[in-house]
Amino acid sequence: MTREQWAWVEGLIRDVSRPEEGNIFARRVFQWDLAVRQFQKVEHERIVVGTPTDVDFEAHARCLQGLLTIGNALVMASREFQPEELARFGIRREEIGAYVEALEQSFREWHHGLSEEYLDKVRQALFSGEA
Amino acid sequence: MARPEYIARIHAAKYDLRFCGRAEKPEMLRRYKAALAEACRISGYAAPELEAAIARDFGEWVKQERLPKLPLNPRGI
Repeated sequence: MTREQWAWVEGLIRDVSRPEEGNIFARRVFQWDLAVRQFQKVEHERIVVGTPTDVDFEAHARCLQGLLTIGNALVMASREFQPEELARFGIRREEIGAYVEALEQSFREWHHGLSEEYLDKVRQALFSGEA
Repeated sequence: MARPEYIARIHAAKYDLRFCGRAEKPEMLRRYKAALAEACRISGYAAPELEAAIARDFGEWVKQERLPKLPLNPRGI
């Protein structure tokens, strides 16, 4: 067989496996979506409107890191698919990216390197109308 | 202390971003970024400082606004 013939056969194999790859990718996105939603509920109850402990903050950081790792991998993997392929599963690439950015925003809020003393000064300026 | 209106606008945009459906996320993210950029311009603080400084106030705002509790699943989460 020539190189062109091998390439043709490899192309056929890719075509056959493509729907399965799409299914697997979509399933991962939906599972991750569900995990993010559950995380946000617990985050809201424990961190946002609750009285978080050190244990809450440690678990919060670990969960965020895990979700961000998967989310970033999904953003990269989504580039392997055409928008029409993703649309078949009701997925848009920018939705995954927006989810990741929202998680990063949460990380910046609660796991930063700024001191409480400095943040108190910022709050004082913001809420007293000085800023 | 009084909460400036521009901070309340960030809180509202953040709430929408967190709890909207997947299809709405890109638009809600755009609105959140716009509200944050406006607050940075008014206050003179950088975005990371603002986000960290007002994170706890978001919870207060949620309570004051009496926003609906998030639906919990049967396992309590």
